[in-house]
Amino acid sequence: MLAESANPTAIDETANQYLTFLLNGEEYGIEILKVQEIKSWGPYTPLPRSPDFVLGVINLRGAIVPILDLRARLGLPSTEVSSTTAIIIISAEYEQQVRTMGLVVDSVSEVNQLLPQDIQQASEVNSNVDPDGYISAFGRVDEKLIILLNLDPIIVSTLEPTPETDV
Amino acid sequence: MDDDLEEFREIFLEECLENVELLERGLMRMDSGESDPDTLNEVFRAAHSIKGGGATFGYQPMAELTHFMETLLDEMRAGRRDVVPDDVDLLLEGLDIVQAILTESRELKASADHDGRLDLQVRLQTSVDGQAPAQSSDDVCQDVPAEKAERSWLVEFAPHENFFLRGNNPLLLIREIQRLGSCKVTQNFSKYPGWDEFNADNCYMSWLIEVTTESPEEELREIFDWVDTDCDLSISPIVAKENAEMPSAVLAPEPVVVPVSAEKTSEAEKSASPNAAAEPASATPKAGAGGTAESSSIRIATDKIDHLINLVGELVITQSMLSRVCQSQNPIDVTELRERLADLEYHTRDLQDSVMQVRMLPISSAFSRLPRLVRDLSKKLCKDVELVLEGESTELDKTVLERMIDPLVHLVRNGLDHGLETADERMANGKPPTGTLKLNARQESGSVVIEITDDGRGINPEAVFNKARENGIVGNEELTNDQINQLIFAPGFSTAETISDVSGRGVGMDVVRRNILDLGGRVHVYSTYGEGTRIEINLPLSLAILDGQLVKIAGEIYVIPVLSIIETLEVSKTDCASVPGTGEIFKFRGEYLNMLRVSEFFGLGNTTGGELIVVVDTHGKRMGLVIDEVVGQQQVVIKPLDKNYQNIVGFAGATIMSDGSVALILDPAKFNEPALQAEAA
Repeated sequence: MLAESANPTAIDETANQYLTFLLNGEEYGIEILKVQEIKSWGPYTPLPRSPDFVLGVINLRGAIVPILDLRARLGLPSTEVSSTTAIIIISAEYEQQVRTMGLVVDSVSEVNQLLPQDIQQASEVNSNVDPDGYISAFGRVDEKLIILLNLDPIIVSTLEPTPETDV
Repeated sequence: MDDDLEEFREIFLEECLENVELLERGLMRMDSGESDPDTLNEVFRAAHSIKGGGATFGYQPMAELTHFMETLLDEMRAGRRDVVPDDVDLLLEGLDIVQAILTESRELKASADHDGRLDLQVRLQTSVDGQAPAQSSDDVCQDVPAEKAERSWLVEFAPHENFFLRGNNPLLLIREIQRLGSCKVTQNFSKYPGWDEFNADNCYMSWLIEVTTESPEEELREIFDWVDTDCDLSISPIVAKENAEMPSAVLAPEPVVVPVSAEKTSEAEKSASPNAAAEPASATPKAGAGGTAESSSIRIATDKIDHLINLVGELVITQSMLSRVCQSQNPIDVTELRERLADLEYHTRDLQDSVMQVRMLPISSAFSRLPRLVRDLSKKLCKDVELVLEGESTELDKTVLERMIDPLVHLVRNGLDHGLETADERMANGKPPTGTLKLNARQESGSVVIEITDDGRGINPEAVFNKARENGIVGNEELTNDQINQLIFAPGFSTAETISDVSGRGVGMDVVRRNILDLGGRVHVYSTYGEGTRIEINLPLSLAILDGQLVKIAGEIYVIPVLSIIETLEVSKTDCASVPGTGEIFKFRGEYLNMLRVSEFFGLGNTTGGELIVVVDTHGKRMGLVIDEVVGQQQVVIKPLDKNYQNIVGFAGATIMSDGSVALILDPAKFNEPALQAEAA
């Protein structure tokens, strides 16, 4: 497998890798390239006058990083914090600056490789399901469905003031 | 090449600004009659650097103008003319234009020009011609060479005595020059010591070579590249008609010419470089148009950096000691661990202080603009003013300093325009005819205090109060004189009868206060009617660190900047009242203040319901913040919220507590902002 052309496959391998996690019993996935690290759940400082999906801020080695309740952002019912609750720290570039934020998930599962033929774009399925564009595609691994998230609108909605900002 | 220049362009512009400042300071000294050679030389050098750099980087208009200024200065420096106020005025005018060009060039990222430049150049030239026509005219026309034309250069080539010992052959070099163009070579044997001391291995000859060539100066210099440590070399342009009178024994008088001609060389290099470098550089402005993003930089004294490096070294040692203590096989030696931790704390604090020092600049860079301003303004207003500057070495954070310049300028203008009286008026009131405007800066426990004092007419409380009522700023309430004085900072307030271009639009003082508050500072005016005014500004030492009062509200720790706190007190229920429309008020030192329940205001959750109040200054208005508990005071490092999230109105940022948790910093100055009020309503 590795023999023929080492370099392109190496890139492709990371490009096709997704970190999967559980949210409300469903398996979700995000591109592994955007994941910086995974932190266990801990205390945070709540932020006043912020949208309800922004839980608060934590100290990540000296940086003030907001943590987002992914359930709330996706419109899922909220749940109690459990021993498996984790924070996935993602980083992405926005307006020429690398921004870091944490996504609170029920539990982190594993890293899966998804080939293009295993992925079906969300737009091909039903465009009415997800008006905000948070869901990018559906993947399939061993007969298991993985909902692939599009992080960009989530990041933008965190960094830009929205009408939801009203408490 | 373009990229290389681009990199230096920012540095050049910054240096130019420094030189402009130097020039201004020098000119001001000349204006007050101190035209000693040192001052003149300093001013001349500054003008020269601007000119040289300007030409190199393709800022032709600027180079041209400074050239004319330089010519005039050179006349003064050489003692061929006296320093007269009219000339200084001309030079100051030139300086203003240079500054305007610089600012514009910075914005355009290309060379800019100024409308008044040509006119001023003519006037400078007229002034030069008027008093010293003969010597200076050559100087001036030499700067307009036709491009690519043949030019004449005078090469003074004086090999050191050991020239031959290094295997050099002067004749080969001269032959090289001959290949560039027509030459006229004159030998000089003045160093020949006579037969008795003659050493056949030494070189006693030197040459003067006049060469007329199309090649630029660099090509001439290149020829001497290999021998430049073994000889004294000077290459200077000559104007055609001077050829005849060129003395053949220029080098004759000095037997050993090493130091003198070395200086000559660099001087000649400088004066020659604008012309020589202009050609290659002229293409760069266009390339620079899409250039790099603007970045500001700071100059740091090397010893500050060395100190930092030392400290980091200490820190690394302490760290390795600590890990050695922890790695030892035996049970950990608690005493040693404590000791090392104490070391670590000491070094960390030292390092913090030193890093903060890096951003600190003396306030003199802000003060230095004021003498000029006072000079121009007092002339315009026909008032005699003496400006006294004190504590110029007080250091302040660079950002704070930069943002303080405009407010300072405004306050000084105001003091001159409204505060100080004319000489007649002063004498009538039994004061000395010359008014005094004093600026004093000093450090006071974690903050910097700037005082602006004048011995003018002071604030007339009655007039101010009436005016404020007229403008609808206050109602009919009773105010103390001190409260009335603060009204001058209210938006839309101005007592000046006529609006001049000096002041009087009633926006300035409001902006001054806003700027100071935005920096986390405070401003207060003290005045005695008839005797003078004192404006006191309190500024934080730094924007990155602030003295914080930690308070607990609804179970969370919040930080309130100490600088904005007036007092913390507990009020009894009887001193509070709920007023329809205004909300809750309480009595504080005889006046009623608005009470703001922070937890309700921001929706923070349940409080203990006590009546502990922190009185803060918010845009000149005091208000009481209801909190649950006072925790303590400490310095906190401000971290912006919008790095990874967005700013929240009413919060200045966040900080990290010693236990690693995050605490939000309240920004009381914003609590009165309409946006916040509307949101809370």
